[in-house]
Amino acid sequence: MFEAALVGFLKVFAWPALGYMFLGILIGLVVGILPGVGGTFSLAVLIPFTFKMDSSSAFALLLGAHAISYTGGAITTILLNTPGDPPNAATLFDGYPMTKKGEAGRALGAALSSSAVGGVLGAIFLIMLIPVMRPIVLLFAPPEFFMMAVVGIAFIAVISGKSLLKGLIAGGFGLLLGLVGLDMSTSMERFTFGTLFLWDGINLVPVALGLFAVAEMMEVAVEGGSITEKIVSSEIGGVLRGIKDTFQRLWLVFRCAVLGNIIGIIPGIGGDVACFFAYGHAKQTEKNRDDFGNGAVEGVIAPQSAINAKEGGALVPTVAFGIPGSAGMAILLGAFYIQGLKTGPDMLSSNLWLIFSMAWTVALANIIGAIVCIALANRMARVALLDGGYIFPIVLLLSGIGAFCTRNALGDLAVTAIFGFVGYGMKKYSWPRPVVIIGLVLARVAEKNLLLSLRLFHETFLLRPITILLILIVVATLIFTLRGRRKQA
Amino acid sequence: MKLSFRHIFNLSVVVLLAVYVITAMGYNRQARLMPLVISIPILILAIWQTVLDFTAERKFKEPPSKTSARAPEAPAAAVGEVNKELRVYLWVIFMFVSLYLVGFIATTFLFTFLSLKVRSGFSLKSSLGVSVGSLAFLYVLLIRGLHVDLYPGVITLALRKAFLGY
Repeated sequence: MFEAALVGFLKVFAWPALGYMFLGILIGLVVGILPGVGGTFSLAVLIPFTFKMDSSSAFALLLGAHAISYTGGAITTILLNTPGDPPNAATLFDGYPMTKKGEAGRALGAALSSSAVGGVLGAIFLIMLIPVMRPIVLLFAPPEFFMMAVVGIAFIAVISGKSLLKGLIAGGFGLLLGLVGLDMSTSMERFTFGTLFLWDGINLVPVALGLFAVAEMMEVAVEGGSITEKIVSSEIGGVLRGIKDTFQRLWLVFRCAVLGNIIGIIPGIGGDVACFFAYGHAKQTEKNRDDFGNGAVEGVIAPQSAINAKEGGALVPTVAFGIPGSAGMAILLGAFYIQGLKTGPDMLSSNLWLIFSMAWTVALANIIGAIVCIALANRMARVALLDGGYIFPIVLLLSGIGAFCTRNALGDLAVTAIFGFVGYGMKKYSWPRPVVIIGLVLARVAEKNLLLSLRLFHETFLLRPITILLILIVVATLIFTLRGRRKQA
Repeated sequence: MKLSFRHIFNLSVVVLLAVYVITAMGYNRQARLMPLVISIPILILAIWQTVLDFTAERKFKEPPSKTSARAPEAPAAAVGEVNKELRVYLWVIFMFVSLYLVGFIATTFLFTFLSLKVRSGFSLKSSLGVSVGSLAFLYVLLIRGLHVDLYPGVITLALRKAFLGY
């Protein structure tokens, strides 16, 4: 085991693998910054280039790009309220309000450093879990997936903002949006109104781009001026303060990274949920929970700690069982076949060094990517001071490109436009927008696993040990939140 | 009672949810289970929210002051705000319609230039510079670098079919 870990480590630093990793990091950062063109896209684009590479070089290139793309996505999320990828949407709840408060540098410093620490922790968990991954993955079945989705839905009450009633309606609206498309069990069209485009359901990225990026640009255009009129601290001072914030909250970073890693391990839940869980968890447990949504640095650190940690977790079922834990991992699985490698339990004995090499690549890519971004963060933070007149057309166009690139569908452009107006209305009349995204992410997961649970276990699915534990978490979450709200009132 | 935009927004939510419930009723038992379980309570909450908004406004509405010198200005400011919003709405609609008609490449240049020059009143030099820069970024990075297949626009497609035959 130790020998395999050492061989894997040395392989990362061997030429040309190291060069390919740097190239991957560069591509991952650029692709991550572009909305809608995220980590999965970078993997898909890079796979054809790996045909003639040896396995350590191929995975250095692919994982270097994939591991870092969410870090790049944090930049546009924080500065322009434009999420690069669906998981980045959880960062904008507090990232953009920090920019508006003049703390863009601090938010970037906190986001980049926490995603790097989370990514490294994710890689360490991957290494630690290699010997025990099989029983952990097998503990989870549809009832547990369903209850995890319910835990996520319960977080709607936690992050509803000032009005619980509006939060519940908006969260429910998100859930209902998630049910648009073909019914999974009967293949009946639901709420498609005869439109073929809606058969696949409503995608998260165009909705998030509309609700946040387009709506925000509409507000900037109506109000005039720039995103913020001031930078509170000197830019580099702000970035360093953000990094300090992360290291002062290492316990929060650790908890959220563990949460992200566990959710990443479980195939079927989808890594996007991890960041929302981490955000909800931070809001529930941190002392300054009232500041969440108004620019709390913990609201940036929590999802960013989970965002890269989940990728380490997603590698576990991919290599151990050949079951991809995320869309990106499904594409990565293709790279295994190209390299002539067979994923599954055999991989743990015959190619253990490669798994370690992958874990080291993820860890190293996160550190290098964060250092590059932090070095540029003080310059990037000045975007917030640009005249809104410049930002308005550029962000709108980026939103359009991001929406279209998600599925190469014109319908997604219409979705972004519609949700731009909806988001502007919601913002103007104080309706919470983040809960719509949470509802949309969780609706399908909840429905699919509820139906499967009922078919497989009938009503007794509620009596499984982990399900009971998750029910208790839901009850505790609701009691805790309602008590907190009553105290506030 | 005068309907404000807030009321219209709340009522739209209620109408949307009501349509959702009615539509879901038409599906078979299994397909409508989850939509109805969520939408019926949400519809009730939305109606409650709308009623609360109406009653709260009535409760806290102050009688109009006859002596206030600023009173006549308020409607004018509100109209100005609505006009400003309408103009922004039109710009957003213009961009999305333009993407549909002439595609991403033409819209990137056209929309950026018009927005900077006409909407924001920047100089011709900076408007042109930013527009060309945006176009170069789109072309070099997305089209050449990442080989992203961007939509060419319905007009471009029609012209291509008419003159080039594909």
